[in-house]
Amino acid sequence: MPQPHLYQLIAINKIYSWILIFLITALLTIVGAFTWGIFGILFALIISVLLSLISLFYGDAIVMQLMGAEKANPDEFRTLHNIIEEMSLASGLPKPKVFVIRSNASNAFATGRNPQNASIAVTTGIMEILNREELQGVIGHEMSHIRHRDTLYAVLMGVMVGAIVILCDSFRRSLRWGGLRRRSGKGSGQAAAIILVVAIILSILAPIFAQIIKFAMSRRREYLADNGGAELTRNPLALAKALEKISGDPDPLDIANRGVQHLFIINPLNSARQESKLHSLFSTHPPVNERVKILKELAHEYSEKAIKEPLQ
Amino acid sequence: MENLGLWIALGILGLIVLWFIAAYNGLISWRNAVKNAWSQIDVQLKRRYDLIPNLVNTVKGYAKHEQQILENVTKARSACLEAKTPKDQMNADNMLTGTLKTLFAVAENYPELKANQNFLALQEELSSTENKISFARQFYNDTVMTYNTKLQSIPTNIIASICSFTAEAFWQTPEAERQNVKVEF
Repeated sequence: MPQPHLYQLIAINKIYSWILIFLITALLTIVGAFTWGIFGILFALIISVLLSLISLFYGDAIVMQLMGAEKANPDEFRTLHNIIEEMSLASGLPKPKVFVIRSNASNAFATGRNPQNASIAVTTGIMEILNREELQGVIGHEMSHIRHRDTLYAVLMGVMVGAIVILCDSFRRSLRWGGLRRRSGKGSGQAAAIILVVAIILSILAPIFAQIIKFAMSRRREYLADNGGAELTRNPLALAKALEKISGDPDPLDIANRGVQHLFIINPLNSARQESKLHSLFSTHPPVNERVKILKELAHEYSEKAIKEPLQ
Repeated sequence: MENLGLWIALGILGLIVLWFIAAYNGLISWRNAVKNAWSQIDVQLKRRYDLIPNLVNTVKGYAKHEQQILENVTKARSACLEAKTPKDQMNADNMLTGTLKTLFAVAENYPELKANQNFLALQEELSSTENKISFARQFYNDTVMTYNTKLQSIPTNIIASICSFTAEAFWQTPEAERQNVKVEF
């Protein structure tokens, strides 16, 4: 897989984020138009602006709250703080806020709209099963998500897709309970009927589309973050070992749900762990053995390069 | 017609000036990025020097027979602080890394020392600082490479030579240190 340039990754994520905001605004406006007419449109616009601002500025706090993460005390979690400082030096980014989740499950994730407002959270379980180098690999992976602005897109996704699903459901319900009858009774013409049909289709398709985009994008992102993390630590094997250890750990992260699963380094939901054919189609994460294989190839590449040009 | 030609010429000139300003500012911000990356290394080096007296004092209490090793560490530290040229600096640095490794290896023989919370904390801080130094250097080299590439590519190199921007030097790592950098004490 050709490694795109850093600025390309950043640009793509920013564009996707704007598209996401636009799609959701458009969807809400259509829904609003058919439920409450002109006031609905106004209401929908206000809601979408609020929703975007909340996800952008409070999304990270919401996610941390949902996951039961707490600020990591620098004295209690000295090594974790040190490793995160190491990775921020390697990437040249400011140090993210450090959170821990007190859970036996082993997992980690990053969030935040930009590197200046980023956070990394890890479970206490992951710190127990990984050694220092392996944990460094995991943090390198998370730091790359921040560097690529995957966290911007992910946090928008998490908050907005959740909201969309709730709204679409209520729209369908309102159609059933009279919204449809009232509109068709007015007989405002064919155009309105067509828009109505489009709106209904959209309201059904939007969540599905959102899911598909989420799957397709996040799997590619995981590969790229693995690659980026290895570039930061210059130690792909440690990350490979960490992935093997984490995926072998049977403890699921209870608090995680489908809304946030794409944020984690390894899918936290136990049911999604079984890597069957079906799952590889719908899973938010690429299969671990594939990721490990790619990292090992990368390690081989690194060592060959080191032999060819031992000094800079 | 004559006027049109003049306007086109002026337009092109304007574009060139705009391009010149943008490219010049780009070079300036990359040169500052290089400087900043360099100062990050210094911060970590200083942190290492600050940690050492603390470490020496802690070890002294438990390992009285290792006077020689402790002296070597202290000597290497002051050599680092006194180093004037980059070459001296690098040699002193390598010596310090080496003596510290000996110290931590010897510490293995003192179970009480190894159980000391203060010592364990210092050990983590020092090994992390070693990592930070090497990551800061890695980032410095990455930044220098980007800056130098910009500097030497057409057409930015024209501006670079007019405004006398010069290529920055990479941090050269001796083969021995390269292998030692990520060793866990």
